[in-house]
Amino acid sequence: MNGRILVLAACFAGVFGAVGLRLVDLGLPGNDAPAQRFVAAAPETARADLLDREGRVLATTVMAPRLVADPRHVRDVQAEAQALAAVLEGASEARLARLLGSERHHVVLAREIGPREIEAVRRLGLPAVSFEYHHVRLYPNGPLAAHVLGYVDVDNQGLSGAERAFDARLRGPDREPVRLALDLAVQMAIEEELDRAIRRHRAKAGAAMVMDARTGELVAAASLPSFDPHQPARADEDARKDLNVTQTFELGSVFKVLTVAVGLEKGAIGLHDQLDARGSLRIGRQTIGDFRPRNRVLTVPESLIHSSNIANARIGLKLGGERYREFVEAMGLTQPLVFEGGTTARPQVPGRWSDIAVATVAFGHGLAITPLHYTAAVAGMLTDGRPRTPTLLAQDAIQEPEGEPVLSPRVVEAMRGLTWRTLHDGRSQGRVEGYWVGGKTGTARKVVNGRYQTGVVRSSFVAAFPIDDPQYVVFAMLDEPKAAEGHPRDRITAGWVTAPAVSRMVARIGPILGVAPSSPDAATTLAVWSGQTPPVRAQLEGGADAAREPRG
Amino acid sequence: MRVEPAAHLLQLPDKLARVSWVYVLILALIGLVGYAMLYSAAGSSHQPWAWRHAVRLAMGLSAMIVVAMIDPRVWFRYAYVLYAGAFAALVAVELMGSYAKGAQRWIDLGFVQLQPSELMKIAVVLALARYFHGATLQDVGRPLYLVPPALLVVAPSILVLGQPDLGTAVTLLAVGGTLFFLAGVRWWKFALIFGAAVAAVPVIWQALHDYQRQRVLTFLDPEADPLGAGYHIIQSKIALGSGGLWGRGFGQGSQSQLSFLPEKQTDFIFTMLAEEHGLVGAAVVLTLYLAVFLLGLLYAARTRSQFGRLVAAGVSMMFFLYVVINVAMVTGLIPVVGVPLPLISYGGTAMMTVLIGCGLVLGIDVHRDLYMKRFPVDDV
Repeated sequence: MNGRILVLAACFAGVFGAVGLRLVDLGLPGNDAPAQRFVAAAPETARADLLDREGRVLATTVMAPRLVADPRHVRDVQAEAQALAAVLEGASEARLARLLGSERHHVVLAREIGPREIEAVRRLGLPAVSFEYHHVRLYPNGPLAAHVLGYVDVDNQGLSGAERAFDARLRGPDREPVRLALDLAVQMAIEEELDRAIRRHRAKAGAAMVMDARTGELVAAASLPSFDPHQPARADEDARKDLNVTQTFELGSVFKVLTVAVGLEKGAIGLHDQLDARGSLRIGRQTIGDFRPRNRVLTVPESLIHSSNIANARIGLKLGGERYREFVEAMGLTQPLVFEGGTTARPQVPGRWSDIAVATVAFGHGLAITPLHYTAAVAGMLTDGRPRTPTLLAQDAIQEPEGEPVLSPRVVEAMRGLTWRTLHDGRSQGRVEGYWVGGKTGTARKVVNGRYQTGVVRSSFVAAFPIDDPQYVVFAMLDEPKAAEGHPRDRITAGWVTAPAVSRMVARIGPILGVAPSSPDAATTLAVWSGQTPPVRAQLEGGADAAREPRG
Repeated sequence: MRVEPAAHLLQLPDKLARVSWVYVLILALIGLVGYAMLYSAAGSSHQPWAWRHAVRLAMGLSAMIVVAMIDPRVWFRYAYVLYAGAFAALVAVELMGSYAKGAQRWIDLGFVQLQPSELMKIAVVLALARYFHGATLQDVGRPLYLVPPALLVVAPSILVLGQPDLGTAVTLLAVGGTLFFLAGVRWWKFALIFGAAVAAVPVIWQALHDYQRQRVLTFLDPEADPLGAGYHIIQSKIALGSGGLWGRGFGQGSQSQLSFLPEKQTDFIFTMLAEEHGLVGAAVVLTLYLAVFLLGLLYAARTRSQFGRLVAAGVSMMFFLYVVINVAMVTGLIPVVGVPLPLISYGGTAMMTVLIGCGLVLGIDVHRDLYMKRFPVDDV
């Protein structure tokens, strides 16, 4: 029977041979492995600036000295290492001794060195050491917008973010500065408010972005915790991840606006239709219930205002899986988004659009997308009915619409009105003094190890303003927020967490972006669009009874 | 000239003299490579990995020698008991996992975290070896005779797959298959099973978790998702490519040192090795591994008992699969399944499993002249 052992031995050797060949294939130059530019000798280290949309510097390159040595000219390794360690900040004598004692002809002793240290090193009068000026990438705003800007390696080659996306242009023969869509002041406001919300709610992480609804420009995008782009390797892996693009999430109720939009577009529902939200909805073995049950029949606007899972699931069922799938595909929510900044994570889409699948997706579960996907879809839903292609570059003109719109102008207008009413009639704290804003909350329970958790949520909020003619869409998301100090423990829903944060963001960035305050009259238009018939003015002036929901 | 005592009368000094020290030396060498790589992975520091790795290596090698001193008949006698224990632990983890709202793969015994699926790898080898020890070729030819051992392999594989741990499930199935093969099961039966497995692919696809499907899809086209799930593989390939023939030097791998390479101290440590020491370094390490497997098979071939033969070959197969799955994974030949590189990756459980397994192999060789009856339990 030892023949079979021989066969086994031959298999072992054979498989190892195959793996070895694969290594040779990947490791030796001259094939199409993506590694070639990493082995190039002496790369060009000069780099053009990254600018914000107003021309302010986001990343630049300066000449800075570094301390180098030629170990061949070292006379006493220990003594010289000791002398250098005494004058260099944070240097380890052992490391210096190892470098000075090495066989090489050129070693870098310190990549960064200040004027005082230079002076001290010069005084030592060591023949082996000298200073070399080299290009250093500098981010004057520190960690601000770190994920968008990205970072470079020691040879100043772009490794992530805009640095990688525009690497060729930045290092090209012309070295022309790249003007990004980012607005430094808006970015600052967004990051501050996001950070404030994260600390207030002791959240694990957060993400926020501002997109120009007409051009798809990313005016601001933040993902916290952030990192110092000068020293990316020191940050941990989670901090380097851009939550806006690298991860997909089940976003929860914010998705309901898309459900209502497609329902209206395909004629599955009308603005005044009634949806039964009593009790719970059973589909097969699954039961769908509401977070804050109304236990009555709701109108379509009410299904958003009260964020009813049951009502939205019913819209999904009326549409059917096939039509819903067509819609999310047309809105670009099933494929990774490709833009200059790279490619986002791939959405997780239901394998089969069964009844339970479409009912769940209708209220924002079972379909996981990146925040960028969602923001781009909402921007389209509120402008020309086509999904936006996000862009990192400042645009001088509005994108030429391509192809057939997914949503007709009638639905776009209705959605403006509906999101406005959702925010103004709902319980969330997302209203902003001076602007008419449309918005929707979303609190999604997190899945840990395959099970939905109680009390562990991701709270998000989307807002668009001025909602009568949307120019900007703001999205924010907090991971595992807790109730603010002194509040009941269940105040972790988006209405308490992200809506106030986004409200503050809008209040701060509106004036920076030059958005004029909304006129009171716009509310009349919005009310009509949302299906609320006059006398709306009476309601706005305080006569709430005059404007009860129209029935039927 | 010293006369060797009869095999069943070997005393401890005789046993130590018969230990194949080449085998021990190669394993220690591989472990030391691990130590060096972990030192480099931490930015030339003993903390947090290298020092603990060295301590575990020393403990593991000692445990291996101890295991090798034990008479194989002891393993034979307790083979089914061990298997039952491992199986119970596996079930326990499954149950506890669901009560504790999450898939736990290990049981915390306080001083050590026991991973039943690792224990199961060895238990399956012992149990099958015992089953087939007394089998004649006629026995093996009867399909019904093969049902109990098939269950011994398939049941834990399904449990492990549910954890979910694809790498271990595949390892269990392959190790089981190897023992069937060595026990003399006919070729065409393997062909039949293989055909059935291929036919089952669509069914399995349905049963996979979304994230598992995503891994397979990403594997087929990693560049489609470079910021998301494809990140690991792309970074790994870049690192492998930048190593070249001779590598970038110890502690100089830019991918690994700058932390672009994820999990560089565990599953992706081979990538780091190839980046810093190039093709040559990778080839040296792979050769060391190959030597371990081939020695294991040599021991299998020269032992007298069927039980010993099956144990030595089965454990060698297990070791082989660790290495092959890991290297194939980091070079993008198969999807990322999360299998460590034995004795080099940081992590205690896999090292213990491998070294204890190697202790069994070594023990089989020490006791190679031992005659074991078809039912030798009373002898012990």
